[in-house]
Amino acid sequence: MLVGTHVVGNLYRDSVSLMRMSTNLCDLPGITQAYCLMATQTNLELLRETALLGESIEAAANDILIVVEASDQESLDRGLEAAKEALDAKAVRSNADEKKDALAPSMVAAIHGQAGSSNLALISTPGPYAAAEAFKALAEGLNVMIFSDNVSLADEVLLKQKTKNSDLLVLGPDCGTAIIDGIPLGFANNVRRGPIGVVGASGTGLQQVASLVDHFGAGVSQVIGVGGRDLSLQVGGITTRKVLNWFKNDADTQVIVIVSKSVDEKIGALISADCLSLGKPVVICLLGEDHEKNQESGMHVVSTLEDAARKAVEVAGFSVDQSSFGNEDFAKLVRRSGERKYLRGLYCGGTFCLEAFQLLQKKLHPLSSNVAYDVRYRMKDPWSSSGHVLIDLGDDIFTRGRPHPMIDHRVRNERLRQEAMDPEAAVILFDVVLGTGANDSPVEAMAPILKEIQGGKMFSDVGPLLCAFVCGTKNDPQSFSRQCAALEKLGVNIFRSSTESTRAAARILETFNE
Amino acid sequence: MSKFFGSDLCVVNVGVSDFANAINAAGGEATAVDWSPPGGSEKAARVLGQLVNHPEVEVANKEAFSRYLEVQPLLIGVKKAAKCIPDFGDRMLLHSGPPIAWEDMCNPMRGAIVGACIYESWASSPKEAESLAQSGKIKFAPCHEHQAVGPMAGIISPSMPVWVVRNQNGGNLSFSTLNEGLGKVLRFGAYNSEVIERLEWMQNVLAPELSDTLIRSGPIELGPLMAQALQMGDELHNRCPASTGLLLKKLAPDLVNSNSPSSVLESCFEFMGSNDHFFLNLSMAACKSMMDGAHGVPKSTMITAVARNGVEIGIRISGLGDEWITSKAPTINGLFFPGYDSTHANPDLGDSSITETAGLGAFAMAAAPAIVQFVGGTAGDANANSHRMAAITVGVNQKLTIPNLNFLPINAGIDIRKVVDTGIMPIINTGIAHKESGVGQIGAGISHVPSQVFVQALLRIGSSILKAG
Repeated sequence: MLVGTHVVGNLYRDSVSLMRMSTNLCDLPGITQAYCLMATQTNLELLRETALLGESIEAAANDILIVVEASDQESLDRGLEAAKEALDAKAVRSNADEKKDALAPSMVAAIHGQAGSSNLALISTPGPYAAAEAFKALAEGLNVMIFSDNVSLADEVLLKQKTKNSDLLVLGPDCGTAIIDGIPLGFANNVRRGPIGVVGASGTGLQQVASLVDHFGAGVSQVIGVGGRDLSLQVGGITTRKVLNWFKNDADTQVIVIVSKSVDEKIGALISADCLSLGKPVVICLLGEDHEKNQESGMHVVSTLEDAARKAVEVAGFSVDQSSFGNEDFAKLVRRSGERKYLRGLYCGGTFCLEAFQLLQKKLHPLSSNVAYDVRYRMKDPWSSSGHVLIDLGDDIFTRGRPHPMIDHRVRNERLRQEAMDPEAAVILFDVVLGTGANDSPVEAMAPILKEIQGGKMFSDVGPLLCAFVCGTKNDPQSFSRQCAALEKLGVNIFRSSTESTRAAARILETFNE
Repeated sequence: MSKFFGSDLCVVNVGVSDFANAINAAGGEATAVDWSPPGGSEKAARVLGQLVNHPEVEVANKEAFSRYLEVQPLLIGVKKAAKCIPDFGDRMLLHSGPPIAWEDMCNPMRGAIVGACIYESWASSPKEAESLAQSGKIKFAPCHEHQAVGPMAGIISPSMPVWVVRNQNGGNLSFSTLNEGLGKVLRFGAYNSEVIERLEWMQNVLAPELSDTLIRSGPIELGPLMAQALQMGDELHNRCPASTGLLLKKLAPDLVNSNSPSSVLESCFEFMGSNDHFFLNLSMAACKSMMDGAHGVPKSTMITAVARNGVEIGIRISGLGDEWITSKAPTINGLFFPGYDSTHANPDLGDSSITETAGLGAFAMAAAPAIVQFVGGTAGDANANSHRMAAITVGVNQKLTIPNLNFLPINAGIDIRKVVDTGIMPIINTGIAHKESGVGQIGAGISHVPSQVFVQALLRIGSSILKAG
């Protein structure tokens, strides 16, 4: 071991910067020990105890003494040189993490930073924590949109009860979509502004209705998600009713659309009563309710998303622009092939799956789904299809430990391959959802498997028919037209909406029995 | 809803940050929160959800904080501990940190107790002192529970002279020992004859001189002195040379008027002047005065003491009365003197974190550029540190400002709700003691109060507030 010393006369540095220098020197190759100290009596004694210093050294209390021990001369020289440089060092780069400084450390701090303008907390933390954040937000006088699911019903009731006597709204839990004053919240689309107010339980349902309203030439005032349990008996429709009341008095809203999955009977009666008092036409889309309700004046009941959009646009006084896109002549698409006879629907949007199930329940047999309410229609194994199958890929069993399929297409791509290779699959139907929160380019993410299927090498016959619909508007970031064009190029047949694609699939498969 | 639809959408986004980006891109305004599970537990998150912006807690914290602001600590004298510290029994020793039994104490604290026993003539040898300490015949109690604070081992024995600080507004008294200096001293657990002799000199020579000096000079206002020192490079915990100098300036004219021979005065000046940490104990006593003033406001979640005994760290909260919430004392992330490293280090020790509790020390790190090097070293890092501490405190103290931050006032009054909510742990600047008694300081660095202390504290005060409310 070699020891070298260097004295820098009449230079003061504080003990901490000197200690830091020592630590940095020890990181250099070949350096075994390094000390930078003011040469006070105490420090000299300390150094002598380490046996690095000989007895005499020409250094006084106002001098800096550098002592370096190294394994070879080169390392020693390098170390001493580095020490001298460090004493000379001028500006140092900041350690502060710039990016992190842009984030607020807590909700309270963020609200403070917004200096009184805050009016909404958008919460997408893991479920068990979302309610706590929501309570905080309400206490601070903010409206709340809870994107998170896995929030208990009890918490939802507590939160919404807290807003009973105030103006505040709790949207959700499990509220994936809202468009407030034209600004997309969560998974949402850029939709033209107009006179149609939309409120409802489901995310993708709202997205489809709003997007279709845009396609048909009209626009929306507000699109408000209320969460899947708002219309349950326990929650009592608190948020829906508040929103309806607001729509009643909103000059910018002429027609209201309610999109719902399931409604408790008692609550349904309350909502109906509310609707009749609005003084504005209401379109109610009750998915999963297969009925022809008596049309009370001012209330139009439909059972599909496209019908809801179409009706609302008509009632609002627009002529529905149907000329946009989509395959009309389904018959042309029919092709018999081998054993192929079944439909495989692969959905990111749970509502689309539900709507399809309702439309096809009486038309296709055997039909099953991984999210069928009725146990008789529940798939035995969600990972393996037999018969006609409609799959909600956003269900827990597929998303454990993974992002939602609207963001991460890997699970669906795998399932596409699996279905394509099934000799019994005749039609494979899937949704492509655009807008904020969704994948930057969904079709690009699916291109490899679609190309492979188009290539035809996976099967000995012509293979399954690929059908899809794109839920979005031409103002969405992913470029609606580009996504459609890409899909068509990949051999996918495109339809106007979830509803349309389901009807098409039914027609196509019906011909197989003719 | 009149402030919602049709008003400018102004969103606080908690969770997926992409949502905030989308809102900003669409012309709305969104601030993203750097969120992580508060306290790492659902239970803590739920309690927090109820306590944040709880009106009674807000009122209580406001009250506790204004009491802290109103404290005006005055140095009024130097007295024998037994003569002024309340409830100081005959065979009693005060120690730093939360309560701890002899058998659990760390070596530096035991060494200091041995030294104290010899100094008090309760024992004539270290062995005797240890048996005495072990026998249960000595009562041990935290300094904090007797309105006192002590650095490192923090041992206060009946005969020791202590600074007496009075809150001019509230009247409460606070006490602290006189700083012995560096190296082999009692507070690091040394107990050789040099240590005892020095303690005796402090008791018989220094203390009487200081006591008389203060009678001649009258009380010294500590607040303005500390404010001035803060603007001269002190942070009043690990850096006290300016405050020490200012104190000597204040004492010198009256000290010099003593009837004692000049050799005695010289020894006093030499002793105080050569110790850059001499003012530390007074800084601690002043901060103790401020935090005691704020203690005892029901439902307040403001911390009024942070203290370590080398084994455990404990906090006290204004609204939780005499309760200590404790956990294992943290290890210190620091830099070491030659010949030492983290394997020699004792866990965090001492009451000196009372300075951070009052908004000084590491909370005012930007005032002492040298200390800032523990968090990176640049002005940006100092700023970021102040910013972080601002996120977990109740308010600011306009009497104590930092020139380097454009005279920004210090952030003070740690709110346990904010700690759990942000995940930002209070930072402490501290010296590192050797884990063997009597070796002394081996380095310096920073430590953080561990998160489990805050989660525990939150659940404790949560259950008392939410049950009652």
